[in-house]
Amino acid sequence: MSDRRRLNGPAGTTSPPVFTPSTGSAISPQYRSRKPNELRKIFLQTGVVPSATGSAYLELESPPRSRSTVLNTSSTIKLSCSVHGPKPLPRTASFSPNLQLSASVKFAPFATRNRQGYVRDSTERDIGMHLENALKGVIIPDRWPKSAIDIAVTVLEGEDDQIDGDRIVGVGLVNMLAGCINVSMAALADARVDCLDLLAAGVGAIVAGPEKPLRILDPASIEHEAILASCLVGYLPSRDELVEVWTNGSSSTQGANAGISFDEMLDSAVAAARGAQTVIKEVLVEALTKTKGGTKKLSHDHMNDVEMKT
Amino acid sequence: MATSALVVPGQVLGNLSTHRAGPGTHVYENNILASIIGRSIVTPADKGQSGSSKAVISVPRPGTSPSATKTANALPAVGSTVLCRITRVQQRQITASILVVDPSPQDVTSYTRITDDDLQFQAVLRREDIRTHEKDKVVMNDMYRVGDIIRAVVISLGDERNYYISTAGNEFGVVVATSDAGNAMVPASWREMKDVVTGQGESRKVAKPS
Amino acid sequence: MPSLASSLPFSPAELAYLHTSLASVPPLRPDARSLGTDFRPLRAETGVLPAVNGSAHVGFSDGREAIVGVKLEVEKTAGKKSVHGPIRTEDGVVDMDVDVDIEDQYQGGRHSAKGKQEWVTLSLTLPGLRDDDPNLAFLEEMLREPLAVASSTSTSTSTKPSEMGSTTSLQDNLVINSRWHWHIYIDVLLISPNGLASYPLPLLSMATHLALRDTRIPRLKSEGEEDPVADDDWMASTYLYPRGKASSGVVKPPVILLVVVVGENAIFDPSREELAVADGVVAVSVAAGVDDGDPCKVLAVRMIDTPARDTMKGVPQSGEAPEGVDVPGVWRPRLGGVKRSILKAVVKSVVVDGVARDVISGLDGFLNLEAGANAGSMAAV
Repeated sequence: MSDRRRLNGPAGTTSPPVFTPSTGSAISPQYRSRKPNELRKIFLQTGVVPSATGSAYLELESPPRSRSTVLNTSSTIKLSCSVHGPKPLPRTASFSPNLQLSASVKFAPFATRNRQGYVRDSTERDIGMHLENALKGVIIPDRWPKSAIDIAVTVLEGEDDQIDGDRIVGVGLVNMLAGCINVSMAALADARVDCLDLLAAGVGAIVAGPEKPLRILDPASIEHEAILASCLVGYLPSRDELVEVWTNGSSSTQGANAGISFDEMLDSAVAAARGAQTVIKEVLVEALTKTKGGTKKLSHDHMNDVEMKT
Repeated sequence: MATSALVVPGQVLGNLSTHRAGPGTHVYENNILASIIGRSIVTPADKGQSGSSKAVISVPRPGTSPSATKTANALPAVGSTVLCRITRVQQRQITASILVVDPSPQDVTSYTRITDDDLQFQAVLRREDIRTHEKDKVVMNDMYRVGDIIRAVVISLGDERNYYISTAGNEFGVVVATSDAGNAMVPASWREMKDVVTGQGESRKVAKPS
Repeated sequence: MPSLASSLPFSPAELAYLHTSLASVPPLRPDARSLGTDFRPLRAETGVLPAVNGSAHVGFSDGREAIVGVKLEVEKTAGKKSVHGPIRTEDGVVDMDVDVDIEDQYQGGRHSAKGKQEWVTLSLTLPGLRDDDPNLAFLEEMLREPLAVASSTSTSTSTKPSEMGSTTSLQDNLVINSRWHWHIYIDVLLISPNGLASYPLPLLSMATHLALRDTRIPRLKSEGEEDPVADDDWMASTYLYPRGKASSGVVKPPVILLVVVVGENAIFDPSREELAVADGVVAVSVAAGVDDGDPCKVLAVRMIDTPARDTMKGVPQSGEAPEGVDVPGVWRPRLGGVKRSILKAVVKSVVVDGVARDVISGLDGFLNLEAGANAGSMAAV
């Protein structure tokens, strides 16, 4: 979507020269060094935004590589999420006995290698809708009548899918959504909003293998030449329920032709989600043990402060 | 009261056949599951209550005492005591912003956590709910002024956006107020507060100091 | 925010009644359709708009109608990305590689050339929705996504060319030569009294499907790498999705089916009432197999927020029931999602049990009827 509210620069611009070391190494894909069922490492931390009711920060990184060229596409996701509320419904909204959840995803202008404008584009709205659908399935909305909650995810760094480096599409976007769901769940739990379970999202994919298609977890687009189909699930482990499904790419149910069926792809995505859930759980428990003493001390300070005032 | 391990949402805490679900938990297929993170607490059955011989499992929120089992939410419910700031005084009713729900003693003076009215739940205090006696003789301006902090009780969840509150009762009314001159005031009687600097009296419906 | 839920004014008692009857086996549908897989009658016509490459008009029996117009424009292929990105330079190594790539693919004929997703623009107009409403973006993406799917699949042609031929995506057919391509604009207009209330996805998808199959690409006078010059003769144009005997390996555009899950039942083509009580709403995009016997392929699956979550709960006559106790016949807002096994069963019933094939052959029927009618009128003239 083009930015029509601003005066944009002329279309024909000069590009700075880019030096690539050699023809061979510039384009050569980075092959997956992980096992097919191994996830990328997830860094997750809660309580990073003090002014929000709940917040979390998530980072997904493949092993560091030498940054020999600008073209070396990164495969990194950095997301920050903050939860505001529960707060009263806006004045225009009508009565509801349930918590009104709204979620939005925004790319920072520097999230991709080519700078993007501040204008919300359709990709962000689409991803935001997916996220909202997923989170609406995990909260218990009737605990908070007449209230609203806003969840805002900011993409600080997005996985580049193409060599162009401008639009995030395909598996990069799917991975991004999985990250968004995981970081939002951590932030929701940090905000102590009632939830059915720890929701976790995982991505499974079918990639072209040497002889026949392979089934892998957590695909990073730059590590594979061709991703035949990808599948994201938002999964509630204790209920064995799916709150979000987003698959893309052709797959048949019987597994007769391509070798891998839709069901198998779904199961591998669930396995990836289970892996992510252990991380979320561990991080939340760890944060809880850390802050246990901290809050008490804080309230103590608070009282001293009050006494000094009066 | 037994404290157990740290729990996360979705973790099974007990069964409906032996326990009851308290705040911070939910029920799925006869199991009691945590719905927020925290420490799960088992409160033994209250013998006084009729028909409930089962212990209650709950996961308290930070800031709420485990005994406040009625509402572990930060949301007001019928019967909760609230601290409000008066935002508007009209002939028939008073509008206020709810600052704290079920305050602990030290909350009375540390009330200003959020200052934006849009982020606070709104409450309406109708003229007839201000006090128990001589309801028809109430003069609004002699009761409350804009900016006063009052203690009140929630009597109804109200309409689309307002909770209905009442200050009928000795322990409800103004707890913090400033005079016309801008100085803090202290209670002088149940219907008057005095400026700490000038000593000038102003009419208020004063809450009984605890 | 005009959500699905706010436009569904059903009382808890109505919701409970609908849910109980739909969850029974077999489901009792409020409009007396006997099976969960039954569709409502619809009428359709193609070629209704004069100034487009292809168009269709589809009307459902509940009064909702959709009009789709497809336009094609010739566009310069941004292979030389010197304008867009600072990364690509005219003389950069990367650029050379890309050029080589395109030519390599081009040698294999038109179908193996790879198109870009940006060449497919789909825009949607719904009454009562703002242009920047997220629901609109979500629907647009959902309609566009299956069209563009399989661009990556076609690259793996090297492994199994015969089987992958069926998944050539729309954009791959838009390549003219290495420097030019068609840009396809699909404009969808919904005419409906209640906007999002009866999630219009199947209607829009069927209308898009028919419009795309009605779309003709003008014949080109130019050849090979020349700048494209189109032939004015409309009769000489070819269909974007070639028609022919179903068994002769024709590719058809995808169709999206909306399925609601109530209890253990999967219910197709849900009406407004059925949507309102859904435990889960799933949209499944399928493409027909190349041959009649081939199973359909799943192109995309999405879950949609069910309006049954944000509803008022019912209170039993005996008074508020304790948490976790389900009183039969009393409505509870739905929580959580859809069981994994049920979702698999839904996809299986779409693809294996042939619901998708039935729908696509039904749509084929329309086109054949129209083709027959046209031939008849021609003869009369």
